[in-house]
Amino acid sequence: MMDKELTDQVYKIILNMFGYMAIALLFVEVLFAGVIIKQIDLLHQLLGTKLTPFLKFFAYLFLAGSIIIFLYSITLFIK
Amino acid sequence: MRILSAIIENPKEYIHFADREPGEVVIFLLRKHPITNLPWIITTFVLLVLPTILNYVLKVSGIALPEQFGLVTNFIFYLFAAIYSFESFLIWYYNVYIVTDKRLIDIDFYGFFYKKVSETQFNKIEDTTYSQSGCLKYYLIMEMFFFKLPQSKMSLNL
Repeated sequence: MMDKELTDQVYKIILNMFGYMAIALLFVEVLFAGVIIKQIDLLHQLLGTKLTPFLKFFAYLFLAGSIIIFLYSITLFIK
Repeated sequence: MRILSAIIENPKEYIHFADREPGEVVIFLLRKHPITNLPWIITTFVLLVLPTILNYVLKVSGIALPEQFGLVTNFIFYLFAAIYSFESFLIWYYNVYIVTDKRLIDIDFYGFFYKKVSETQFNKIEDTTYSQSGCLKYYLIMEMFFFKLPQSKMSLNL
């Protein structure tokens, strides 16, 4: 019985650790999405093409996705 | 799809480039052949399929993980796959060589945090060499050009 309780506790700790790690990773992804948008602006200055709005759309889509998943993971793991 | 071609003559799709002189005409815009994108496309495909396979393996082996655990892991995986494929595409798309009526410009984009621009006037090119190696490159008519510059003793690889 004691062993089972201990196992459950360790399992919970690992899950919590995973949760915080996932949140940290997603936060990095949100920051990285911002970097991508800035880089596309800089690349457009270097070589302006008609594809730039399309690339920016993708970058904003990525940023939005990252933010949504980041917020969703916060609601899941931090209670 | 001309905008994604390897060799673009008299490009109209390219609005401008950095340090363009007034009246400078772009004759060619060159980049690697689209087939060179195949490795990252295959890797992206594997990255997209991998969570499904892993989920199936976990289900078959009877390891029950909490639902949110699997969901967030999948999302993180897909986001990393998206970053990887997007960056790989940008590396291919922005690694270009511009031949104008005055000079040769080499734009190297190695990743989000490093890019390099080299340029030379035509009269400074001392020597040119081209090489073709490998079966695939032979069929796709892919060649490697080297322009030797005298002062800097630097080669411009095209």
